[in-house]
Amino acid sequence: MFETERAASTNHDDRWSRDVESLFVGRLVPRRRDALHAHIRACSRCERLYDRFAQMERVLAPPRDGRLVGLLQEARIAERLFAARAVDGTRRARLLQTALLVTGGMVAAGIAAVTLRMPDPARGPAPELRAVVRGGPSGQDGARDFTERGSGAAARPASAAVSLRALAVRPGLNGQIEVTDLASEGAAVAPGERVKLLYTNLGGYRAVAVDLVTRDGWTVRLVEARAIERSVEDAPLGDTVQIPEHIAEGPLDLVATFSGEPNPSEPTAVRRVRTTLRAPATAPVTSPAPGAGGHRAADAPGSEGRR
Amino acid sequence: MLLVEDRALLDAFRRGERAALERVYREYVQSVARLLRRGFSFSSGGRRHHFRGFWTTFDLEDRLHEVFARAFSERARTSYDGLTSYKAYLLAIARNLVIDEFRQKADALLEFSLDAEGEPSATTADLTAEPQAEPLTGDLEPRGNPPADIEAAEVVGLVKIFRAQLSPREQEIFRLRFEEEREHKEIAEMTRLSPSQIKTSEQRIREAFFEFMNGRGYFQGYRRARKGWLAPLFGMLSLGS
Repeated sequence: MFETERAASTNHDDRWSRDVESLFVGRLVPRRRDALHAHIRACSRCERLYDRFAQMERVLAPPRDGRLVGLLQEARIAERLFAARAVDGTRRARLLQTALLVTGGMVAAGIAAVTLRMPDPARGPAPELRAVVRGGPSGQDGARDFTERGSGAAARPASAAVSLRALAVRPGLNGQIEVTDLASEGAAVAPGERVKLLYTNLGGYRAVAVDLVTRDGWTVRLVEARAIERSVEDAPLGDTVQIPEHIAEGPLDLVATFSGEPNPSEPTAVRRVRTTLRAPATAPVTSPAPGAGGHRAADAPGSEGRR
Repeated sequence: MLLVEDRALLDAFRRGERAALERVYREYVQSVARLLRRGFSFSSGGRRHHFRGFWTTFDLEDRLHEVFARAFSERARTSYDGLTSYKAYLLAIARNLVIDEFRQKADALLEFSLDAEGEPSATTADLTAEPQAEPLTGDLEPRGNPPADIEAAEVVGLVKIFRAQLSPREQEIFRLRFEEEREHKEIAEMTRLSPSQIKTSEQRIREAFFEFMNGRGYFQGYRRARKGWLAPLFGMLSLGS
């Protein structure tokens, strides 16, 4: 656009630079792409970075036969062009399939495994959750490792071959089941609600564990380390898990730690889904019977919440 | 004359079917890009103007997207008569996009010159001519400019070094995807890998390549940030290209 309209911002957010990189690597989620383009129209710094990446891209895959637009460039424009028009049929089909499986499971076998010990009114007040944030004092390590919801960037430069998805499953209107990807804009989950976890493993990872990390530094193990398949996409990670009660509203991370990769340079990979914990709905959430299923319950009051 | 000759495609295009839209996009994207890159002359307010073209990759891609977004709107699809050249119809949309922007920014003169005498107007022949060297977009062909040609030769050499470091599987994907420009599905059939594995490998190659070139100073002025990869060095705005 016109140079006079652009001004280098003085308080530039590095997030945009990361998004430019993610775009050219092919990992930027569609909803961030539009925001990025809108930003670049007003930011000469990011525009220059964009052009530099584009130059390198043309070096990597030079256009053939005298064409002006290279292969990767053409694909990038097409992806943006058709993202708004066409629904990703594959993803929607998967969501629907998952919703049907979850619904069937819930009907046939009752509520799935409890993920932690729920407060038992007969025993008195709910146990106080005590949590240790991995690696340091409460909040610091977690805060540093928090990544943006849906962002293509990971907390560390790990393999792109693994990912975690979290789908909130709840009854909707007219008896339908609502399935919401918790990484999507505006998605939120309430205490007591059930979440279906899916993983993708195109690398050599052999196990995964999933934790829930709250904004005030509490960590709760949702899924104990378990063996996973390889060369799968959006495979279910066991039964649905229940979001604990008595945790602070606000940003919430679901953190999957993949391990067992034979490649010594990347023995583990961490993937996060950031969402929001909102206040419970007015309708009461039915708590499952405590102790059902194979997930470890939270520690009793007075003990450490995490190892 | 894609849509004129293929009525089934025209019908699917008018219905807005993605496969048809994508085919039309791929058929004409190069032509629209040449127009937007090389510019054209036009009249506005009784005066002649010359649009010199979009000089940055971002601007070019952004406008390409906008042209096709307009062209693929329901109104534009149903307005096309199916008899005249769709290419001409599309290029008219591209021209109108640029002229609309000019009219909105009548006081901005950077990309426009008033009463541009002697500037050739874009004719059909111009639009189909071979594109000139692209200094801003990494053209690797010799341009008769020794410093630039030396740099281009160096870059070609670096790509060879980078490629040699890839695993045999990645080298195969590199060849099929970036040299032969095959689609993921084609490569999957040829290599017995899944399309998602191909896509993941391609992402790895691209990321590794950017890291490789960054290590050799091709992202001068940017450093790898703790939370991500690149972040502008504070106060250093120039890429020094």
